[in-house]
Amino acid sequence: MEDKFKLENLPKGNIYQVPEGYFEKLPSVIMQRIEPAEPKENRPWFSLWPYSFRVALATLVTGGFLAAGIYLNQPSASEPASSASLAETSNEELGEIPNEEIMQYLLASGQVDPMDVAELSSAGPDFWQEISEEGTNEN
Amino acid sequence: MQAVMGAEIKEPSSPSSEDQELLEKFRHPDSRQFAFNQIVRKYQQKIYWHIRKMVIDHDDADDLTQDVFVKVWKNLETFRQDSQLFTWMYRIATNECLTFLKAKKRRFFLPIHDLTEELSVKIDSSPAISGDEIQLKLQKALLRLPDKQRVVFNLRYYDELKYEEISQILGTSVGALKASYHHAVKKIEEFLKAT
Repeated sequence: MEDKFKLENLPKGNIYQVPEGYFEKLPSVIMQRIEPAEPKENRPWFSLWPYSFRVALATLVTGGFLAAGIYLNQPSASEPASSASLAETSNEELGEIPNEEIMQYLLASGQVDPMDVAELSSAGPDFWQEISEEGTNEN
Repeated sequence: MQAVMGAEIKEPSSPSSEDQELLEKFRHPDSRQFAFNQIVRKYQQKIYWHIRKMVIDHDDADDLTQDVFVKVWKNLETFRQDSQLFTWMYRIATNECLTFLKAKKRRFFLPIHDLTEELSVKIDSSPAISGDEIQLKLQKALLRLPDKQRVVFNLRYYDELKYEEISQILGTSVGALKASYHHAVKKIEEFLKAT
């Protein structure tokens, strides 16, 4: 007897299996793969404004904050200046005063012994810088 | 359908109204991702099973399915709508499969027969494959066909596509496809009779 095998007589079946929930998860996996390529899809609402307008607005806002910051940090006439700003100011002003005048002041105020005057008069700029730094640290 | 000397006139085809609606939404940036998600959900199983039957292994099929949809995403704007959306996607999937199998043979310096053996062993040993003995034999018989003939057989026998649709996918004439399918069936029947 001839064994006449016919494909059409064979029931069609799928022998392959997938992990549980595979087709539920696959769309999100695919969407995650395509999303990094399109970051501009979630653009904020203000990105619709023209570029020049956005630049001008950003400049205005930044300038406004700077101006407000400067204005608010200025000491009022009745308010004593902070120790840090005083030190900065005194250092700057000290640099403008001749060394001879500073020595006379120190001698008059008794902060320097007259015996040291000879040494003070021959002291270089480093010494005066040291003195001014010490004054700042004390403050 | 008119057939003259093997050259057959293809029936005009275009995306279904549902697909056209999805494509319309895809063209708008605000609804692009939503539309694409719908396309993935609608076609993921068809594309996956088409690939799985070609590469056998689930992990390979998973990677290729993702790659196919990434390519669909990148190229959907260039889809000319002179064919069905699913035949266009099947075409991408088929190309991915054939390229993958060719690369696999080249990478491992395997002659075709060795890859057939490797995939046959996978059918016998993989826990993700189970079925009647005759179904397993059928799958092993299919592995003995050339890759492109296997695609033709799968699309006609399992997916029950029309020859015109397979013609759009593979870019082969309907007459050649009919001959290819006929020979594939004969080879499979002979293999199953012999084993």
